[in-house]
Amino acid sequence: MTTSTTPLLTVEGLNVHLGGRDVLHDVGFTIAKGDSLALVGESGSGKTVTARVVTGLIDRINGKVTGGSVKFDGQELVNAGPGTWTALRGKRIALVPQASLSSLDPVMRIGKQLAETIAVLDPGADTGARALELLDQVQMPRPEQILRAFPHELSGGMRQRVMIALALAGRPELVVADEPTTALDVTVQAGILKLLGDLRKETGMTLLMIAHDLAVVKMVSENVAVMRAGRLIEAGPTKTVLTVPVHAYTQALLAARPETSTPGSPLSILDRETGELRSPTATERVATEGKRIVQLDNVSVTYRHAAAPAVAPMSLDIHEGASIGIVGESGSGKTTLGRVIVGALAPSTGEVLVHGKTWKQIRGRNPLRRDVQMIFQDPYGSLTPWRTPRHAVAEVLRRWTDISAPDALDRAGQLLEEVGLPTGVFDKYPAKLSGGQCQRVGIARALASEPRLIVADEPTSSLDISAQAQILNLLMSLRASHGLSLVIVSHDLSVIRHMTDEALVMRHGVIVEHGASTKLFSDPDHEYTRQLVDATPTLA
Amino acid sequence: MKQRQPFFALPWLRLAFGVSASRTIGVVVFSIIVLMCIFQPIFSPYQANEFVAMAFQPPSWEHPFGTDAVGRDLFVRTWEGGRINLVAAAIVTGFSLILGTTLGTLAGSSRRRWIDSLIMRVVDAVIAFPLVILLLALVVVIGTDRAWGPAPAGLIASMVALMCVMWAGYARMARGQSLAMRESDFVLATRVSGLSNSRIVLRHIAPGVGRITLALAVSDIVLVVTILSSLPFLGAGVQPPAAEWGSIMYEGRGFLRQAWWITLLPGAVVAITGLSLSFVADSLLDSRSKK
Amino acid sequence: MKTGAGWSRVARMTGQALLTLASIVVLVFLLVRLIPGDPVKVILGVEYTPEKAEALRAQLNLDKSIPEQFGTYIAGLFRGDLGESTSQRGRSVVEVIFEALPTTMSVVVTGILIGVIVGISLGLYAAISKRKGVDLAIRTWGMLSFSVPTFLVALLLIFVFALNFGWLPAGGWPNTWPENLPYLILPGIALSAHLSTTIARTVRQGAIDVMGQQYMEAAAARGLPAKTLNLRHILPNSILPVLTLVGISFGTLLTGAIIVEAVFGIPGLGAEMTRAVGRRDYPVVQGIALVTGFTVVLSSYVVEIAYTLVDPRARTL
Repeated sequence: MTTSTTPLLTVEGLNVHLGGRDVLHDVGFTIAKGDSLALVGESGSGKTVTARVVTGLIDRINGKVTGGSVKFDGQELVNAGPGTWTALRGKRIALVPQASLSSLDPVMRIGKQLAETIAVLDPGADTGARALELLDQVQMPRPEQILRAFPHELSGGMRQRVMIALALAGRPELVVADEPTTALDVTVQAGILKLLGDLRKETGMTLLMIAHDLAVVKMVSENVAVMRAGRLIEAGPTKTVLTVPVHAYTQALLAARPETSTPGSPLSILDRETGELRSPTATERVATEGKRIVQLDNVSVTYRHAAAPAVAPMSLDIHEGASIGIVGESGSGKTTLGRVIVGALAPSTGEVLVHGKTWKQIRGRNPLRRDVQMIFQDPYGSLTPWRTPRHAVAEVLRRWTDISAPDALDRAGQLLEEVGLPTGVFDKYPAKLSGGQCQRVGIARALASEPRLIVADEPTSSLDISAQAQILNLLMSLRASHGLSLVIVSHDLSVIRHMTDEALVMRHGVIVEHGASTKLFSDPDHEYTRQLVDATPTLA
Repeated sequence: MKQRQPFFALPWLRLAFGVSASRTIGVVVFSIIVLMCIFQPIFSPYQANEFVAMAFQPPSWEHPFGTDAVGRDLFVRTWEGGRINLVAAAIVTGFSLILGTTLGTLAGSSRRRWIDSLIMRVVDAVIAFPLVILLLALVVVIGTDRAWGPAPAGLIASMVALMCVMWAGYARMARGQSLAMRESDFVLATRVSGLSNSRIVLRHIAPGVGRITLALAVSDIVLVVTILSSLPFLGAGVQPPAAEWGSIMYEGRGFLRQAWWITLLPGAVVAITGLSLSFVADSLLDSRSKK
Repeated sequence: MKTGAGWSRVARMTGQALLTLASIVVLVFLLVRLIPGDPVKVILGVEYTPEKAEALRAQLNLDKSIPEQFGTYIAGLFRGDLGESTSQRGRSVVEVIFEALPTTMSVVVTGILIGVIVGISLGLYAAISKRKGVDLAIRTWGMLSFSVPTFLVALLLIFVFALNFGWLPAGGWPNTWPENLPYLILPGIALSAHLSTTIARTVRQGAIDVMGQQYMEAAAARGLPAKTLNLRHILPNSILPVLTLVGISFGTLLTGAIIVEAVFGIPGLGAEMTRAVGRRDYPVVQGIALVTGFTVVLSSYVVEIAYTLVDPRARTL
């Protein structure tokens, strides 16, 4: 930590109790004035709780600080009275919350929400003029129109700029940004991160940023602290921590980013027992013939009442053993395309042919239905809440084979073991499983039909970083051992580059580029692809 | 191999005596009332319809609820009347639950839009009617003169009328739920896996719908009891001198000043029954949302 | 602002409302035709003679075929003619209904007013108050209120306030305004019991949801004081559903009003309906069923339109 300037925020030995357990243990760090610190960790690491303590919101969620101290500019914040907080909130410490539709009051216009805050934090100021000033400061186009708009009329990126404007209204010294760009598109995220950087230069504000993505941290903060299960396990200048991490957990977080490994090789994961980083061996590839499995012929999808097609007319061939990526931001049509391939959605024009037959023709017990299966983005949402993993998988087995009920349950158990699900949860309901475990069940269910092609729709986006690496490894090894074709739909370029041989880049329903994955991301042809590559935070 | 689960882990047991205190209280109190309704008239020295003492006696050891306008013991009348109310409420609610959930799930999960439209238009029309108007109209149609077996005059008509009306609420709720579920990822997953439509509806959609409508049903029993007891005030439902919570209270309405116990003590029993059931229903809903 | 899409929603709802109205018309028609036995016999009772029966049958159009009867029925509807009452000779059904309607409506409106005010206040208080026990107390009151039948509430109110304290009349109805007011209070309170409970529960849940929303936390972090948070943010967001609730509950409210009228002896639609039921006055029964059904559909429709105007998010759907 820099010692040449005065510390603005000092946290020492912080212990917090929440929801019946201790969620923070002996956490400590310092941020100097004008400097920045990023707190990185997965869900449950305690990073959000720390942010709440610093902004005085810990009471709202019935949390209690049981020990330690938090000093802001010499003033003790732990158990500080309401009077202290009234003087600090918004005026000296401000919060930029996570990007979401519900970060603003949905029934109040933007201008009014700005005016309200300005009136409280900057009494006497001309609210109209100051509001415009703030919108200008966050580089918002057409500010007068924005003032009259309602939150749901703005895009995610614009809403976040408004949140930043609201945070700046009181001219605070410390800004706490709680995952400000999670859930935003990559290009939008780049804009917000740049804005934060510009604002820091302009106002000299100190930044405490909460993040889960180490690559984002690299773009925005000079210092980083890694948290895990309520403890701070490693801290230091970003450059140092990211290049020569000390703790195995930090190494695992870095290794989980696919761009740090050779494309196609298994990612290193943290071994639960030894606590060391482990590099699994690659699975032997089973030989495949290269026959064509699925053909999309001039397929397009236009939703009812829509002005433009969600997927513009396109054609694609998918062969045995192929590995194809579909990349795009939100609204690109990639999920729609994935569903069309699987037959879950009917195309508006064109045909999807599986071994020569269209999905419309494949009905009832036609065995062609087995050949193309899907893995979904939301691990919990894709499992029926009242079916146990074993039954969910056995059901599919019994549908397609003449196996008896008890045998199906046994075989289901084998499949679940193969995907790495712990035996203890085979007969528990999905609510009791972790996200990663649910995703494994989804994979097992897909495998139960013995498919030739699996479409994975954002298979790791809803998972923690440690689970992500495991699922990606699982997919790679299954593809090798079963000779499967994979279509991976994702917004994450590094995942696509790592897992696939060829990729399609989609934007607003149109495929703007289609080629070998390695070339696409190192030497793209299309302007948009180049934008995507540039905007993606990377550790490489 | 699937393990045998310990007895206490059985889902229905957990449902009945679950974790929350309010649910336990509710179940216990309701059980007491049910037991009283079953056993008190059997062991009571008095018959519900006989004149056993002086009229208008206030509550005493001999007659805990006092006597009514013609000298009948109100305690035994209350519990015997309770049998009718509770059994009728259970039958009506059960029927409405099953019929409504089935039709609603059918409407919500069917691929053919005309089935959905047809069922929902009927549902909307039935729901639009103020309950009592439809009830009275139906009672006129069915008639209140004859007694059917053990059921006193007017009861069957009221029950049939209620059953014609109450299923609609469940149908609407079930349809909404199954429609939402049809769009969910897990149902989509079952379709991609190739499972048959009947299996999807029965094993994947229906259980979820059933949970929601069941919670509604428990609180609906309270409503049915309330409505049944209100009917005598409108000239329908169970007619005096048959014993039923509503008819007993109706008979006592003119004597509030001098003999409040005729109306208010059975009324208290109705209120406590409703309260205990509400505790159970409330806790069912709560545990759903605590996810 | 995309108000164009809002209009298509209005059109869709209008279509649905009209369809529902049509189904009600058909249902009511079928209802009365389902009578087992000979209605004419029942109506005439002891005065039954074959000639009178013929005449009555002709008068009631029962001698024509079902489709013809339906035709007459529909035609009558469009003319605003609902037939003549068979028990109150000489009065048309329309007369009977529309004399009693304002009375019932005033009871309903009183009930709604009291119910909304009490419900919103208690619901918000239960959600916002940090004092232990307040929430539980209000929820228990809610459950109690729900479990006690409306007529019992009415009787209790009479017992306590009219008989015991003598503050308010125990029943009856002077036909002039404003003498009506004291006679509306107890019935209004009795009627509001269930409604205020439902409203309180919804508002409480809504307020709790709102308080947990991210924008509340973000606003608190900005330093907005509690009073502003409560009044300007929690209140508007949690009372939106009350509007829909009142619209949906209109049917239940009419039901309750009828019961309340019966207990308090108020000559509204309820009294007319009970009388008509007792005397097998089918035209009146049919007419009241129709009018009340229409009112309920209309009220839900109006409420839904109002909701579209009030909630900015609904305008774009």
